[in-house]
Amino acid sequence: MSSDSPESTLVLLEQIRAGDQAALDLLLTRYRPQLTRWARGRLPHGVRDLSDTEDLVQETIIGVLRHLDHFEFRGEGALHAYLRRAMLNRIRDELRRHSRRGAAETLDERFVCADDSPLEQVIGREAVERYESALAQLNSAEREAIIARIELGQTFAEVAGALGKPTPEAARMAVNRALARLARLMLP
Amino acid sequence: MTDEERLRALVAAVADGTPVDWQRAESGAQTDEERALVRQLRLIATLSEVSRTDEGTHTAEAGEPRAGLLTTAPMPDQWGPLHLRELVGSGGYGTVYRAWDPQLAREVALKLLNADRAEDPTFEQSVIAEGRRLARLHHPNVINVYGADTHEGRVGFWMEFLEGQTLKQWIDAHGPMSSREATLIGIDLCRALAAVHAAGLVHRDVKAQNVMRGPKGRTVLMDFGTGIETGEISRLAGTPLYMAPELLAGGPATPKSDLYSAGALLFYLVSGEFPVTGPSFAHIKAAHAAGSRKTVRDVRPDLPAAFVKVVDRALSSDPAARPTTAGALEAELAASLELPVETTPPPVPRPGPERTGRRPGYTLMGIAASAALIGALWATGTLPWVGGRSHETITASRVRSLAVLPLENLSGAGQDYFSDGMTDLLTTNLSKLGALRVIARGSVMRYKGSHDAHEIASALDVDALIQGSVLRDGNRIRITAQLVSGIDQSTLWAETYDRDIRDAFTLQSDLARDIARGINLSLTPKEQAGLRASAIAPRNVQAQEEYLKGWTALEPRTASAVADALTHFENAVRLDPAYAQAFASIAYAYSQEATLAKMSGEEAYGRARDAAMRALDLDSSQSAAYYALGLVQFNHDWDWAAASSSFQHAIDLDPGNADAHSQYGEFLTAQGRFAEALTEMRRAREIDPMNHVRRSGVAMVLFYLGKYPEAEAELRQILAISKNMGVAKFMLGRVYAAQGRTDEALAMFSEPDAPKEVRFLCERARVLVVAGRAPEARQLLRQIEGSPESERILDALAFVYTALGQRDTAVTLLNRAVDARLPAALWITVDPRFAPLHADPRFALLRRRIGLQEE
Repeated sequence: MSSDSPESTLVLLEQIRAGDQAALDLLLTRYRPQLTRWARGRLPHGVRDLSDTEDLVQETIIGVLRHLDHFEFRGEGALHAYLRRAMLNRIRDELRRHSRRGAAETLDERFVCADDSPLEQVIGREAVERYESALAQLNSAEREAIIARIELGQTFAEVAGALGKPTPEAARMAVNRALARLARLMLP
Repeated sequence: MTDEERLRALVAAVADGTPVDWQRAESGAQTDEERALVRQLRLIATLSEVSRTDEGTHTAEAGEPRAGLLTTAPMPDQWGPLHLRELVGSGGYGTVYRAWDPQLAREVALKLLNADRAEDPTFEQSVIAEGRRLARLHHPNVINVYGADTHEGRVGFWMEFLEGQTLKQWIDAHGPMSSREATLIGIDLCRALAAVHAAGLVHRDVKAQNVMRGPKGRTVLMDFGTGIETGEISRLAGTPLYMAPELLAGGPATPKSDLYSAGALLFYLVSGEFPVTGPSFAHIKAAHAAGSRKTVRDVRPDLPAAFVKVVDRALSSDPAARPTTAGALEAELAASLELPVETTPPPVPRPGPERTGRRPGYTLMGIAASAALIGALWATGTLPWVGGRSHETITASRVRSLAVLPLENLSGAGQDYFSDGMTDLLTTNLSKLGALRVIARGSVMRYKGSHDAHEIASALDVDALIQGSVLRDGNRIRITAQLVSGIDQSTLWAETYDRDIRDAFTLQSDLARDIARGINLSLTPKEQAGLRASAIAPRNVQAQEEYLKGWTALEPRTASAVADALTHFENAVRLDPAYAQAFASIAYAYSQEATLAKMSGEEAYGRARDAAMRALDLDSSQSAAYYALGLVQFNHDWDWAAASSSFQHAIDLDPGNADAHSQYGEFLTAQGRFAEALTEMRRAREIDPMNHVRRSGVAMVLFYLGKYPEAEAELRQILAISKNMGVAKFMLGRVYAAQGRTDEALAMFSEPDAPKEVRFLCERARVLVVAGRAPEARQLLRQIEGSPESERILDALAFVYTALGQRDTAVTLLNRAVDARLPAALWITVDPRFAPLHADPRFALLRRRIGLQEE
């Protein structure tokens, strides 16, 4: 993700609202790779056979960017969080759609099956849910810090830009604090 | 580390994305809650990896967790010949470990580059080449790189392991510093950079994380991010906050860009901020282009103008406006402190005859030699101010370690003591200079008469040697001295001095100062004062003679040698009752007598104390007096605090004194401060490498630290050179015994040159008990107890009884040892042989009796 200032993102968003296709392409280029990586981890293999992850991500992003009327741009971090939520919802939709094809009754929480995303296979569904639940309990600044750094893998410089922090070191401290809180909230 | 700190470190590692040994982290947790938290962090770390990885999630088989996701790679045990001990940190380039080099028998820091980058052969080769170039660089302010190599597909290089804090850690902990402190650090940094640049290298990554502040205030410039990198704003080589604008714009790194970084570092040290800042590389680049920056005044309006000016200049956007060289910046910094600085290259020496004066009567080697020498130097162009040199040679200005070879006696028979005395004076004066490592006289004496500079310099591990001669004729003396390169034996500097005998000490002071100037060594005000003080001539020449004779007599370090020396020193003070150095020497000699006699030595210690106090009354800078006083306070008074203070004074006043370091090391060991003791012992060994007593001191502390293989290695090295050193063999026996290798231990104790005194027989008896041969042990015990010496070794008997399980007897003996004030009793607490007694409440009482506080 290139490190542009929040102002330029805001400008792009305005342009997108005005229907500027080039601006849309630019933002897509910026957000798609990271979100795709992120999404891959959360989509079970089965689902991905049905719809290519990249297409899914692209659709989601475009969808979000086109309907920004209710979105208050507080900063890049907020935009990441918004995109992520949209992505998560979209993934859940896909999963439901997939399961409706015939395996609804067998969706057992503890059953590791082909319906598990790579992430779930690795750390278990229960852990993923604890994580999501804990993440939801953080305040928005903390959540954005986690999403930006831990999930999207942005550099601290980029995180600083996203969160509106003055230096990467400040961003790092914010991430550390959020992480510590997150870990506590995740305790079973 | 507290739980808080451990967790915080883990959180930081997860945030930074650095590898964590999770198994170790989990097992290191002290409570269930902590363990659970560690597990959550591990889950988050895994989640992070999965979310961020580009490849592979879709290639995994359904239901099969990917290898490597659940655990990050455990720490490897070995890399090439090095044993890896502990993960110290990591960053963009790779990982740093604390490791053990079995060949050098020392701890090193190993930087292993990330495996993926190693697959590029050109990258690998260039890194190794750079590492090797760094290894040829020797400077006290530059980290000592030992080597670079590839093993198992990973490139690494290993360097000295530094304890201390980086400047970044220091600032984080203490906040910004004064301009004075920053300037002193800056001066050291400039010296380091000068050495780096002179070697044809550019550092490229000068920043607060790369400068270490070691113990005793040594500033060391490290390289390749061997400090832990924080934050992602590091990109490529160089950190944008410290990078010169021409570099950000894409230009090549030059010495001038290093100077900019040095300026940025100074800016940071006094303010915690940076001249040009921003959240990203692009931001900073733009800020530079726009000229939007802070000056020193903006952040610290209170600082002196001179400092502000120097730093702002170093930070000039235009490289041409910055100081021309690191040396120039150093000079500016020193000038801003109003220090008299000796950093300008020495002037061309005047030709020989003028310097030595017109004295037709002297047809000596001295004059002819110096004139010829100067001529020769010009011809070969090896004078430092003549251009053209490669990395391989030592130039005068880079000499930071030397040995003073015994000055040749040209005065005829019976005058050896004088030239030896002059050698000693010179060695002492030079060894007081903190930035110079000077080998102790004891290690150099063996090379008397030898001329193979290269061999001697390699054996002693020094850059250069001082050679010369002393001629005494009636009331005149002439001393010649040359600084000879240890690599190619070229003469780097030479001088001749011709003085009245009364001015011998002034001559020595001048000589030391001239040598320092010749090698571009800046003297601190304290060092300059010290040299001035040493130049004070005694009121009585005869007294001076006796003093010099005393020191020559002392050298063999036997009981009779000490007695001889004392006679001379006593003569000296009789002739001149205000002769502080002679009193200090008396104190020293008596303290040696007390130690050699191994008795409580009431009389010897008393006299040592009296002489020391008289010496200090006359001159409070007499290091030897403090040393002697420390010994008295420790072994006789059992006053730990006073002894500690005295030893530290001794070292402070004469940091090049190996004895003081050794003795302080022993003292620290008795207190249980093993890590500090090891540092002192190592320093003593460094100064006095040929003296096996020093090496065995290192082995001793390693033994107490429980590092038996390392202790064994050290002892074996000693024995390889000095095959019959009984004490070393005995110590090796103790190491074996500690490892349970009782048969080998007993074999060591039976060696023909193993010490036969009753104290050592006790250890033999003890090991017999441990080996399950109690009846033999008891027989030996009876023999020992029957000897008249047994009263002196009550503590040693105690450890045999401890091994036998007879605790009451052991404790009684120990209390009697304390009653008798045996110095050996001071070691009861740390001696592992008394471990079985530690739980006994009477042991705590013993500890209090010997003056150590309850933990």
